[in-house]
Amino acid sequence: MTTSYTPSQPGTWLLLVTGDTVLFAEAAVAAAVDELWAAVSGGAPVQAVLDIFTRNGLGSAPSFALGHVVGDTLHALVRGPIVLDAVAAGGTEAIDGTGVSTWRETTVDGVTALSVGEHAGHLPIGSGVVWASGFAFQPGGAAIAAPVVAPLVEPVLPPAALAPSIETPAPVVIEPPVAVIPVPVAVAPPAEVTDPDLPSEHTMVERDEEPEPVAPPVAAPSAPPAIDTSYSHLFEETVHRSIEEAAIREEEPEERTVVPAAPAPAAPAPAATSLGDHDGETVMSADISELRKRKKVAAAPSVAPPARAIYLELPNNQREALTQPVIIGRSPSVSQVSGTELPRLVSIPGSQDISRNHARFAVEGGTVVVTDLHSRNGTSVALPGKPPQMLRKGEPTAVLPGTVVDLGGGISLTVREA
Amino acid sequence: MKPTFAFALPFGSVAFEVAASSETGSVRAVNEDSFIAEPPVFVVADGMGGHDRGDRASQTVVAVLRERLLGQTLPTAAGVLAAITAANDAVRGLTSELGVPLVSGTTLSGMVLVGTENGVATHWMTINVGDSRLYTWDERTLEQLTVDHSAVQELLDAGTITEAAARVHPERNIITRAVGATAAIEPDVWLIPVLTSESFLICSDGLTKELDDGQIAAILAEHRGSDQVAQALVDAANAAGGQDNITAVVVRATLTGVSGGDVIDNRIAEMIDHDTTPRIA
Repeated sequence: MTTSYTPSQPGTWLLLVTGDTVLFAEAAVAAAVDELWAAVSGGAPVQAVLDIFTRNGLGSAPSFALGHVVGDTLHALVRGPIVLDAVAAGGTEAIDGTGVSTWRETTVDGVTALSVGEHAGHLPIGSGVVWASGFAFQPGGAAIAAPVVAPLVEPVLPPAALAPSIETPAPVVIEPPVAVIPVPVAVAPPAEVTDPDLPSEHTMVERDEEPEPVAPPVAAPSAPPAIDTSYSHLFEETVHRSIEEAAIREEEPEERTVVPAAPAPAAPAPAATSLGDHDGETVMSADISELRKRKKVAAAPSVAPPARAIYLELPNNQREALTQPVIIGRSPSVSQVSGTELPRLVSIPGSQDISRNHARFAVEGGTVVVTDLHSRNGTSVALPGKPPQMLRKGEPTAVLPGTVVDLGGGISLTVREA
Repeated sequence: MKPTFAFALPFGSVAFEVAASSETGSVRAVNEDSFIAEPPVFVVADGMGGHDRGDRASQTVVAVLRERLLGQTLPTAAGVLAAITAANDAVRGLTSELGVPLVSGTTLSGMVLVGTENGVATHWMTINVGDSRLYTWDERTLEQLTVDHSAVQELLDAGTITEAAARVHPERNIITRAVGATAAIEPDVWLIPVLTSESFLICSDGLTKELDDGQIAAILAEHRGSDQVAQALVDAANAAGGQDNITAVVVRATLTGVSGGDVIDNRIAEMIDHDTTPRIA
C-alpha cells in the first residue's frame, strides 16, 4: 500500500506528501512551495503551515486540506471547497471545509487512509510535490514502499528487497501523463542513509521543470509574430510580420496586407513550424493563440477538482452563475476587453448609492474573488459568522460561500454554492 | 436621415437614423469594403488579400453577421461574439473556384445594440478587429473609440513614432489582427450602457487616411441630420485622393419616451460617477 494521486495540470492544486503529513492546497501556494515543504517536513507541520497561510490575514489564506498523522491519530484542517475523507476503523468521516469562515479542524482516531476526490488513474508517490486533482494518502507510506517514478536525476533506487509489494504498479516507465506533470519524486526508504536535503533539492528541480503557469502565456505578448520576409512571396502581398520588422522595412506596396499566418491546423504542433521559418524560433500569432487556447482548454476542466457551481444570489432572488466574471453596478460597462474575456454585466438600477461599475466577482483557482471597482461608497463583505468589513478599493479579495456582499443602498448579494 | 423602427429599453425606446455610402475610390479596381447599416447592426468590413479575395472575405463576414444578428429579437453580447466567431470560421473556409483555400482576411469594426435574453436593449456593444474605426460624435467633438490593430498603432503606443509620422509611415497598411487570420479570433469589445442619445461614425481606413479628424468633424457638422452625410464624407475622401476603398456609416440613435433617474444628458453622463450620492455613515 502506498500513497497515490491523480495527476493534474500546473495551476490547479498542489499536493505535498511526506512521511506522516499531506497538504493539498490551491495553486497560489506554489509561490511559497519551498517554505511549505520545509513546514510539512518539519516537526510541527500543522503549526508551521498555518503560520505561512495566515501570514497575510485570514482573508487571503488559500483553500487547503492538511492532514498530520501521529500514531494512528489524525489531526486534520480543511478550508474552502474541499472534502477530506478520513478512513478509520469505525467508518469514513468526511471533513468538509465549506461554509466555515476559518477552517474545519478535527482529530480522528484509528485512521488508516485519507483522500480527496476520485483517485481513478492514480500514480504512486512516496514523498514530494506534484500538481494533483486528488489523492489517497497512506500515513507513513513512504517508509514502506518507495517506487521511483521516472526520476529527474540519478535515481536513488531502493534495494530490491524493499520493492513494493503485489498490486502496486510497476515502479518504472509511466507513459504520457508524466511528460506533462512535474515528476513525483520518491524518497529513498528511511532504512537507507540519505541526504536530508534530498527532498527539497528535488522540489527545486521540479519547479524548474514545471511548465509556465497556466494563466497568460508569458511568451505571447512579448514575442510578436515574425515571418521571414521571403515568405511573403508565397502569398503575394499577404504578409504577416512582427511590429519590429514592420518598423524598419521600407518597401511595401500600397495594397493592403494582412495577417493570415498559415491556416494553422488544430493539430498540436509545436509553436515554430515548417513554413519558411529558417531558425525554428519564429512563432506566428496564429500559433500563439492556438497554444494559448490549448492551454486554456487543457487547464479548464481540472481547475477546481472539487468543483461545485458557484453563483451570486441577487436581491430579487435571481441567481447569477459565476461561470464567467460578473460586473455589478448601477449601470455597468466595459472598455476594450478581449472578446474572449467578456464579463457579464448585471445592472442594479435605481439606487444612487451604488456606483456605475461597483464590484467585480470572479472564480479564480476555485476561489470566489470580489473586487471593489473604486466605487464611491465602497463594498463591505461579511464572511459567515463575522462582522462586515469594508473591502479595500481595487483589491481582489477572496471570500467563502455564504459571504454577504453589501453594495450599499440596501442592496446586498450572497455568494452561494450549489 | 430617416428614422427607423425603435427598440425597447428598460425605460423608453431607442430609434435610429442611418446614412451609409461605400465607393471603390479613384485608384483601386474593386471595392473590397462591405458594410451593414441596418438597426441594430452597424459594421464596416474592409477586406484584404488583393484581387478577388478581400471582397469575398468582407462579404462573407457581412453575410454571416446579417444572418445571425438581423433577426426579430435583439442580439445579446454573447450572441454577437458567437456570430463573429462563425464569421471568422467562414472566412477561413473560403476556397477559390479550384477549391484551393484562400488566404484572405478582413477588418471588422462597428456597433451592435445588444440586450437581455428577452430583447430589452441595454448596451451599445462596440467591436473591433483591425484598423477600421468607430468614432463617437456629439455634434461638436469627434472621438475615436476603437484602437487600431495596426503596426503603426503599436509604434505609436510604444512612443517610437509621432501621429504625424504615422500618417505617412510606409507600413501604415499593415494590420496585426484580422477576421480570418487566425483560428481563434479576439475582437476588442466595449459595452456602454444605453443612457443617452448617441451618434457614431464607422468607417474604413480609406476615409481616415485621406481626411483628418477635423475635416471629418466639419463635414459631419455641415451635413447634420442629412441623408447625404455619408456620401459627403466619401466624396471628400475621393476628392482628397481616393487611394483606397472608402466606406462611411453614420448612425444617430435617439432615445425617446425616456424617464427614470438614470437617463440623462450626455455631458452629465460623463460625470455620473461623481454624481453617486455619498452615503452618510
